[in-house]
Amino acid sequence: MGKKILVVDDSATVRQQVGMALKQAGFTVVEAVDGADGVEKISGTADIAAVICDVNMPRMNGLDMVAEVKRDPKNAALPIVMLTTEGQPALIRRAKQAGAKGWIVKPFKAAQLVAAMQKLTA
Amino acid sequence: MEQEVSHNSETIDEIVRTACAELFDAYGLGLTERPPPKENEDHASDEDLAIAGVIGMTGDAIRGTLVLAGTSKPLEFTRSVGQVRDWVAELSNQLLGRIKNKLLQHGVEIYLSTPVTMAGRRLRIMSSGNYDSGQFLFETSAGGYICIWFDAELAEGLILEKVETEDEHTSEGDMLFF
Repeated sequence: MGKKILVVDDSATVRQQVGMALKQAGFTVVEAVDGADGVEKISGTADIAAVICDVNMPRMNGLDMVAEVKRDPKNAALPIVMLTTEGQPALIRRAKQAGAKGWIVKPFKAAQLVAAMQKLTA
Repeated sequence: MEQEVSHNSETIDEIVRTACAELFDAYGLGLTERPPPKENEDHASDEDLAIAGVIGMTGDAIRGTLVLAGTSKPLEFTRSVGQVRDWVAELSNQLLGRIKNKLLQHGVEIYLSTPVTMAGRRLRIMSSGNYDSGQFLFETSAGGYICIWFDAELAEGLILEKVETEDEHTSEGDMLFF
């Protein structure tokens, strides 16, 4: 079984697009539909190696999710990469301060995303 | 005052056109702009506008709604997985995201809502904005049409000009690691 990546996005299409790219590269994919679901999946799923997370989502946005997840010392080393339409420098700084590892502005290139996940989970 | 309105309209129209072209080019689809239909005129010769993504925006300077509507051919062409109704919502989200990033270069910040989808025949909106609200019709390289409505209210006294900033601009497709 390949390394497990959690994909957090309120768009089913984006979850499927990202999931398909990752599965084709041998990863196992778990999905969450918003930040709150993402927090639950991270605490309730063993061996998540990395997280790809949207920013603008209902219930809990991605930046709040990163901050919440990083409050738990168990998640200190968990790489979280934001995948979003946002390109605003202030939000990128906020993500970095919250503990995110990277920021990708949609649309993503599958090969680059896969390479990034392979590097982060090596 | 009229000059400001005209300048803002031209600036926003250019931003929307460019964002549209870039968005669909990223998914391999070419767009050719056509004149928007007149009142009571059909948008397309033999297809009704099928499905639309609707997404709101708020901000101190600009607020309103973006509607991205398409006939089936361009939506199917650009969709790789999932359902069309979810895909058109994501396209509207990505389009408004691009517009947001371009408005940021003019010192204007907007906040996006969660997109919703609607389906129907001969979809048309009633403009409520106070600028020459943008309606854009594109014929696509896959056949069919994409129609964009950018319906916005601009704050009084707003003049859209590019601003210099120390922050590095992050573009669509960029990947940053910390």
